Amino acid sequence: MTRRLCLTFLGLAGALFHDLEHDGCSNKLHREVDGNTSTSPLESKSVALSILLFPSFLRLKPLDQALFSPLFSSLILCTDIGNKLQTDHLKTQKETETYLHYCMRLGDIGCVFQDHATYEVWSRALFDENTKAGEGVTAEAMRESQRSFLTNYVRQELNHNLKLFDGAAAAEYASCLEKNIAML
Amino acid sequence: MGDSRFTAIFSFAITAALFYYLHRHTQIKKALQTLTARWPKSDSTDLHPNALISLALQLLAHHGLLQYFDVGAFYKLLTTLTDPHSKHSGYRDHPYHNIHHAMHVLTNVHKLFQSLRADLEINTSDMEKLALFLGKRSDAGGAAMTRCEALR
Repeated sequence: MTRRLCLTFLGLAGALFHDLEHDGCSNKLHREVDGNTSTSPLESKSVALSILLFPSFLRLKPLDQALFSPLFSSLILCTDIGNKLQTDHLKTQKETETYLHYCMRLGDIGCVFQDHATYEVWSRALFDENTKAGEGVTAEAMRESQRSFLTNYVRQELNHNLKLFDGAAAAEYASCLEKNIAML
Repeated sequence: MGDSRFTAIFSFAITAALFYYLHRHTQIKKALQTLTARWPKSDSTDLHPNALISLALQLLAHHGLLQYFDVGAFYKLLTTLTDPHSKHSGYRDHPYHNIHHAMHVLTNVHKLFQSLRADLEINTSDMEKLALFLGKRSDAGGAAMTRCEALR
């Protein structure tokens, strides 16, 4: 098995299990209402559940779990956008785990790199979820927060690391993102 | 008389199994095409939750990873997690964080990995160990092996 295949293996498993048992409330709401002081309460729950489930289909022995679990945990925890990803050392292009984290984070918010109709479906769903959870966000406030998120965070992170992707794909991601920002 | 009845039932069962297999195969192919081939215009919200299972298995097979899984157990696990009526259901019926989101992220990660530059240098000790572990396990015909055994 190649290293790239390992990366794929962890990434696909991470994508499948990263939001297990998500209760539809944000981490911010958990901190404010429940007084939960942990950094990423929702992601931590997904990690705990995933790690419990792995032996059932991977048949890992305890020593293997010891290797697999920390890599996998960090992968899930990095999907909490509230935690800043240390991307500076991507410049050296030697930190595989950071590539993995980066792809995982982008994958989690992948609709921003897709066409506007797809992006709208997902952002509307997020708005509905926030409303259902009682976060009291108006449509205009949501639009403004999305604009700020895409402009100040996603664009910056993508531009900083576009060199990781092949030319055509990088151009496609950047173009879709800019179109979505313009349409907001 | 008894023999011909048995033959008819047997033929019917074989035909039904064949149709079921072809149906599942078509479903898997359709899910993968819908979600990956048309990216970035793909959206998974119109797909049946079963498509997640199909998609996950298809992607693992596509990347040559299926051999590292106990496929039967993995299938059973995904069936439980995606069954909204199961008390062990892992994906709730929220507007955003639901099974379709898992499917969407799975497709996105697959797409992002495929578009990573081919000459990207991948190098960490843990990754190397994991590669070795999984590689050894594969060589041993899928038998479980500890990291120590694999590194020996």
